[in-house]
Amino acid sequence: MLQWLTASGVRRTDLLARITMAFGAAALAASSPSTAAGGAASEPAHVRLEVFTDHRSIGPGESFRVAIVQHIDRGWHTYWVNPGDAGLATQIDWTVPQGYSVGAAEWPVPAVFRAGPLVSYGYAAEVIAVQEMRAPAAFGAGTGNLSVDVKWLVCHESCIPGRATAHIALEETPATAGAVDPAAMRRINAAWRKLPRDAPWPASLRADATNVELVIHGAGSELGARTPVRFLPLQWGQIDNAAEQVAAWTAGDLVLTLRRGDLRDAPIGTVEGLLVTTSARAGSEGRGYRLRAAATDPPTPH
Amino acid sequence: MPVALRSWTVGMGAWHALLLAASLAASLAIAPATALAEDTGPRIGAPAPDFSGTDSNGRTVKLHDLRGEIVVLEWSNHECPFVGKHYRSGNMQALQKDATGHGVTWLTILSSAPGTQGSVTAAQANELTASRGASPTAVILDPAGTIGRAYGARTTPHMFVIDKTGTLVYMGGIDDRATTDVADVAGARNYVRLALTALADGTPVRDPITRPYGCSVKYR
Repeated sequence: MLQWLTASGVRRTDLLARITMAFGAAALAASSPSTAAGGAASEPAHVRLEVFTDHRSIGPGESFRVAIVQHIDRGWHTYWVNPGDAGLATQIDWTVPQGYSVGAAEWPVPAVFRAGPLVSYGYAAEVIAVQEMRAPAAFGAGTGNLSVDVKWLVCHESCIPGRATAHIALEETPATAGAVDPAAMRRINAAWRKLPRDAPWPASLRADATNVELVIHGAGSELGARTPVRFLPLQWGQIDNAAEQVAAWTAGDLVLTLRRGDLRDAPIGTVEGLLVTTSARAGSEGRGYRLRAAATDPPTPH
Repeated sequence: MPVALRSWTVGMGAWHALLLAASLAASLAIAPATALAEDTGPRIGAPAPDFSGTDSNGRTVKLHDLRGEIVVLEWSNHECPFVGKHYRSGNMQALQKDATGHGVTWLTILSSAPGTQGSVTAAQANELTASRGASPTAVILDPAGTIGRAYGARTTPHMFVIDKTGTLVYMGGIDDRATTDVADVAGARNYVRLALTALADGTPVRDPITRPYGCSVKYR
């Protein structure tokens, strides 16, 4: 589930403004260089960035998690990894000391926003992305300085690009395990529970130039037939975001018929995305399952 | 039925036809491989959806009348930061000048609904053309979003290139850098320029479909 990436020299942003906040013992500062021409320091519009970690200090080789929170003004939204018909995915770039590993950002199930005939995927009010990190196997006493540069697009009817940086100073304990920050840990655990999980069902797909049919084997027995579901594609162009999705439950399988997107004439080997359910059994909030469906037959040439 | 769907596409908008087709399929519960044989919206290698629009000088522009010319469609909204990137950098104006200088018909289309961002009067549209040093062949006002929906135009900018036979040969982004940063214009792969160059050279368009990026088109 988690890909460990070795962090290398990600460009550091000049700090034009600095607002210092403290979360537990980890000192943290967020700064917000203006993206507008002119370069005057200003707060980004409609989004406040908050970054914190579940550890006050860290021991050699220990894993820890970092939360990246966007507090979004009412009526505005930022975007998921696939923004949908318009918009831009939020981009997170870390600069970490040598030896620290940074995992992929994990995003919760996005909301579906409709505007006329267009559909986009994103977040209103508040969104918490979680990243797993790992400290180097050995270090001397010191401080691990981690900094993150976050860029986003926030839209209501109009859209405004925004950007902020944040810093975490993590105490490094060379001979002992680090100390957790219980309050931060509770918040990150709550966010973690809302993340999509890997779908436990095998899935396959059939496609022609008009539709993609996802066959999700055995989903019916766990989810319950007739559970309202929606598929959110991870990649652009495969699925028409605005088209109706037709779900058929047969013998425990879920067959989801989706309209193909702009790339309808190209061969389609795999489709990845989230199967989102709003089943009463799963709770009132949408539960997301990470799904990967591969073609059963060779793609039909067109 | 396919013929009927095709004719509705222009009249009532591709999206409506699409939704109608989808709900029809649902009600009949036909396997997708056989249902919905007719697709809606623009398709590379197929005739570009025909349209008739009124430009900012009150003239009627019909795509059908432009047979024999290469046509570029540019969806725009001057208040969108993605559009701003390509006009503040001079990128869009340079491309327009280059294209029209080579006989290409360049139509800038404004599909913002009245009262929404980017909605302008004809006079304001002409002022924008003048103040930005733009050189489209015409600016078409599409406040009802009819042309936008027929093309499935989703973003500003969203670009389409039509060859001299009226066949759609490109649809997608203006380039491969989905940002609002002017600094990204210089190193970008400009798909519209590449498509126009391919047409001039008589070679196939290498990337005929790309992801359009930008603000949403402000439909009602």
